[in-house]
Parts: sequence; structure tokens; C-alpha cells
Amino acid sequence: MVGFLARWSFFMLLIATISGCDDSADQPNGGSSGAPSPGDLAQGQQIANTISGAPPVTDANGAPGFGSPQDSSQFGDASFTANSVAKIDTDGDPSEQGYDPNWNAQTSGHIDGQPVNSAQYAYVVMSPDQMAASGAQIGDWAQVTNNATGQTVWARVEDVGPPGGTGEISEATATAVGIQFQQNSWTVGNPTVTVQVYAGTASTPGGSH
Amino acid sequence: MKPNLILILASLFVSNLAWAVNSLTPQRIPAPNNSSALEISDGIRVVDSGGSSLVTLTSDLEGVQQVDAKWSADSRLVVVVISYNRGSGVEAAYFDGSSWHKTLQSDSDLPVDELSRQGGTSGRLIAQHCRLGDWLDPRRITVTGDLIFPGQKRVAYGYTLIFTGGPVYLDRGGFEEGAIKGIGYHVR
Repeated sequence: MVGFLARWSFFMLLIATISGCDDSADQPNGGSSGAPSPGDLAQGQQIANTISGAPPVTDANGAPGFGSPQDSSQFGDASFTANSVAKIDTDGDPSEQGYDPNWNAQTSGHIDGQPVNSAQYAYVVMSPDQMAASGAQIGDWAQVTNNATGQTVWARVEDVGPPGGTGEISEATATAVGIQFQQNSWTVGNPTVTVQVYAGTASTPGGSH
Repeated sequence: MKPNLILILASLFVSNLAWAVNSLTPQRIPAPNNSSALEISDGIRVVDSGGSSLVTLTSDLEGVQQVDAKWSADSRLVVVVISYNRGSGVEAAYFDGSSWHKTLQSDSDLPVDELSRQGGTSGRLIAQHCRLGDWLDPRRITVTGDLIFPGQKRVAYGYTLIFTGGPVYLDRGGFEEGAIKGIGYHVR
């Protein structure tokens, strides 16, 4: 009997683990201040959907995933700034498995215990050195600007990558600033972005103003 | 679902769980002379024999999958490799005779382009991991690692991490950059 219960418990735990791999985590409310207008986002999203087939971002305010920080007036100067070629990090987006050869199911940051879905949340990637040297941590707010168009979006640091990994941004971040990409994660053209990270801001909630 | 598939999934689950628990298990790694220790719990810090913090390398271990640390024989330097899913960072704490300091190895130290060329590959660096080898003396330790490029092309590399004691500058994270650096990078 004990053996049966142990096997049953283990099996249920296994099933729970497998079934917990969806991306049904609730999304925080999004905001609009400091972010592209809903029109910009919708247009960018449509372009990205055509190319990447990514599902639409369905945040209440039309902003991707985390929205905007409720109060960024206390952020001060960025603790980390980098200007580099944009690279799309599709990690955490299950729909990219099999399309992006560099896809990874996991992200360093998590939301409700789940990887952060690249298609749904605007996030940026930093290297361990960049995080330590700037005092940044997972969850800190960052501002991403498309250098060609000036489009800007708020994002969070949610993945940690290799040395010199600046410019890696999630699909939702790219879409929000009008960067087009293919489903294999290659960008269309050679867009560049400026990433500014604000250390110590992870606890600032996102949402509308 | 076939029984074999269930068994495979169960094995993977158990091995992953065991690995994850092991990597995040709080540890206390004493210095050879027992005057201090590296404590890995909710963060990574050097503590004195009474448990009081002497220097904090990181106070946040979210996303960290593995921590590799080694003390020098004279107990004045401890090198720590903090590994995430796709990247490793090398940090160190050292005692200058009166107080403890922290330093890190800069990204610019790693000659990615040269190593990829030697390894016969190119493209965007997807992931990088490294681990500590053996001490050559109390100021030099070997490091080995892997660079992962598109298509899972792997370049194995090695180098010697040295404590320079040279000029440093204090970054925003409180690390004295320049106190450690890698030399002799090569493809293995």
C-alpha cells in the first residue's frame, strides 16, 4: 500500500510538473507613459506576427507584458547603458521551439515559477559581469530604444547571457520598438538599440500611471 | 503514454530535481586557515569565523544554477564562478592585510573573436560557461570553459586567471575592476 501511494504521489507530481509548463501566468497591467503608443505597438505587432507568427500581446493597455514602471521618477541615472546591434532572444517562448536553433526553454528570471515568455514580455538580457558591475539584478527595469526610429519601451532584465551580450532583447521588446524579425530569431536588417538599465528598481511595480 | 516514456520522463524529472537542489543547497566553504569562509545561501559572501559578513559578492541568486569556488592556499583570495543558464561570471574576494575587497573579471577580458577563429567557427555567441581548475600558486588559478555558437558549435578554451594587485577602479556594483584578469587564452 505504501509503495502504491509513493508511486501514485510521484506520478501526480510528475504530471503536475509537465502540465505546469504552459505560459498561462497572469500578466501584470501595462502602462503607456514612456512607452510607444498603442497604435505603434499594434502596428509593430502586426508586422512581427506576419514574420514570426508570434501570438499577439494581449495586455490590458496594449503594452507588452510588464507595462511601464508605475513611478520611474526615483530611478535616477541609468546604471548601465549599451548601444549595440539588436539580437532576438526567444527563450521562454514555447512556440519558438524547433524554429530558433538557439532557443532555450528557460530564462534566468521567472514569473510565477515559469520562464518569462519572450513573445509576451518585454525583457532584456545582461551578462553576469554587466549585472555585477552595474549593481543590476533580475527584474530591474530597463529602457530600450530603437536607434533608427526613436521608439522606446520599458522592459525588465529577465535573462542572463554570455559575455558582451548587450543588445539581446525579447520578441515583445523588439516588436514594441518596431524591430522586425523572422521566426528563426534573425532580425530584418541590422537594427541597433540602446539599452539603459536602472539598478535597484525591480520592486517597482509595472502598470498604468 | 507508453511505460518506457513515463520512465524516461520520471528519470529526467528526478535527475533535474536532484541537480537543482544540489546547486542551490546552502554551502559554507571554509578558508584553509579557517579564519573566514565563503557562504552561499541567499547570496554569496565572505564571512568571518563568527559568521559576520566581510564582503558580499552578490545578494541575489535568482537564476543562478551553479556556484564554483576555490580558496587560495594562503586564505587571502577566493575565486568564485557564478553560472546562469547561458553565461558564467568570474568574481573574487581578496584580503589586503587589513580589509576584504571584491573584484570581477570583465567581459572584455574574453577574446571571443580570436577563440572562435581558432576554433573554426563564427557568429553570435549564444552561451558561455566556465569552471575553476587547479591553483598554480596562491595568485594564479587555471580556468576552463566552453563557448557555444549557432548550431551548437562548441569551442573549448582555457586560460590562467591571475590576481594582478594592479590599478583598479571601483564600478557601480562595488567591484574593484582590474584586480584579476585572464592571460594565456587558448583553444583546448
